[in-house]
Amino acid sequence: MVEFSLCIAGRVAKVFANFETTRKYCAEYLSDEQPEMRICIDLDDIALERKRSAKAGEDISDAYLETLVLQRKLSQALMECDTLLFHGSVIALDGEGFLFTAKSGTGKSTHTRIWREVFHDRTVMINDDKPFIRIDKNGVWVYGSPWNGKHRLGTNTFVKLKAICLLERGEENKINPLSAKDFLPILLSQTLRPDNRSGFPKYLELIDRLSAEIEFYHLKCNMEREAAVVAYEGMTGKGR
Amino acid sequence: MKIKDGFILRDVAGKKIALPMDDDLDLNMMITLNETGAFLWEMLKEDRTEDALVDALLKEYDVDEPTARKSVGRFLDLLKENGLIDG
Repeated sequence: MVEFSLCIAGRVAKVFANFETTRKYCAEYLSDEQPEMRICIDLDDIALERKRSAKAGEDISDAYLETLVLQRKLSQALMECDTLLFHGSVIALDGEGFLFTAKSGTGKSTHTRIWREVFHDRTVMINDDKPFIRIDKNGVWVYGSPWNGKHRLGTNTFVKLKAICLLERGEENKINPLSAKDFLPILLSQTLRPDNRSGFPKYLELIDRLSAEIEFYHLKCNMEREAAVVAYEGMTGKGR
Repeated sequence: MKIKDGFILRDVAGKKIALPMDDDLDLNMMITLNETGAFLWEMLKEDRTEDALVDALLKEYDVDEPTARKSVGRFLDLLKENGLIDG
C-alpha cells in the first residue's frame, strides 16, 4: 500500500493507493495536515475504472487508471464539502477566475493559452482540465488539482470564480451572456455527478447555488489574439 | 400509475427539473416542469389513477374539470413519451 495525504480544494484526504506513481502524480498537493477523510483504492476499483474508460485498451496501465479512480473517489467525497469537479480550462486574470468549458478537442486549452500570450503576468493558469469548484456563503471558488491535462498546466492555488463560458469554434470572435436556465444542461453535463442516488439532492443543490452566483457566457472564437480580448471584455465589461 | 423509481425533482436555476439519478446522465432524460406538472409529479410518487390526479388538481387549483382533465392527460403523455412512468 502507498499512503499519503493530499490537500485539495481546501480539504485534506488520506489516500491508500497501490502505485507509487499516484503519489508522484499528486506531488504538488501532498500535505502533512490532519486528514478529514480517507480514500482507499483497491484493484476492483481499478478494474471498474478500466471498464468505464472510453479509451479502454491494453495500453492503459493500472497505474494510470488509479489516478482516475482517485479523481472519481475524491470528487464524490468532496461533494459533501460543497465542491464539484468541473471539466474545463480555468485561468485567473487580475485575481479572478474565468472557466472555459466545451467538448474535448474544441480548443479550451488553446484559448486559455492565448489569454496567457495576450495578458502575460496578469494571468495565472489555475487548471487546464479538471478544476474543483467550491461554493460557500462568500461566493464561488475555483481550485487547482493534480488533474490538469496532458500538458500538466495548473497551479496549487484558488481564486474567486467570475464566470463560466461555453466555448465554440467560429470564424469571428463573438461573446454573449447566457441565462443560468440556458446554461443548466452544460452545468449538468460538465460536472461529475453522484455515483449513488443519495448524493443527488446535494448535487442539485450545489448546481442551483452555482447557477445563482456566477455569470454565464457563450463564446464563438477563432485562434487569433483578438479572441482573448473579446472574451475578456465580454465577461468584464472592461476595455483592455 | 406512478413515476418510475430513480428520478428526482428539484428547483434548479429557477426551473423545476426532473432527471434520473444516474451518474451517466443522458440529458434527453431531463424534463422541465411547470407548477402544475410539479404538483402532479409529487402526487405520482404514490400509485394514482388518472381520476385521482384530476380530483387533486381540482382541489388545489381554481380550474374547471375539462381543463384539469386536459392538463392531466397531457402531462401523462409527456411522462409516457419520456419513459418516466410505471403502470
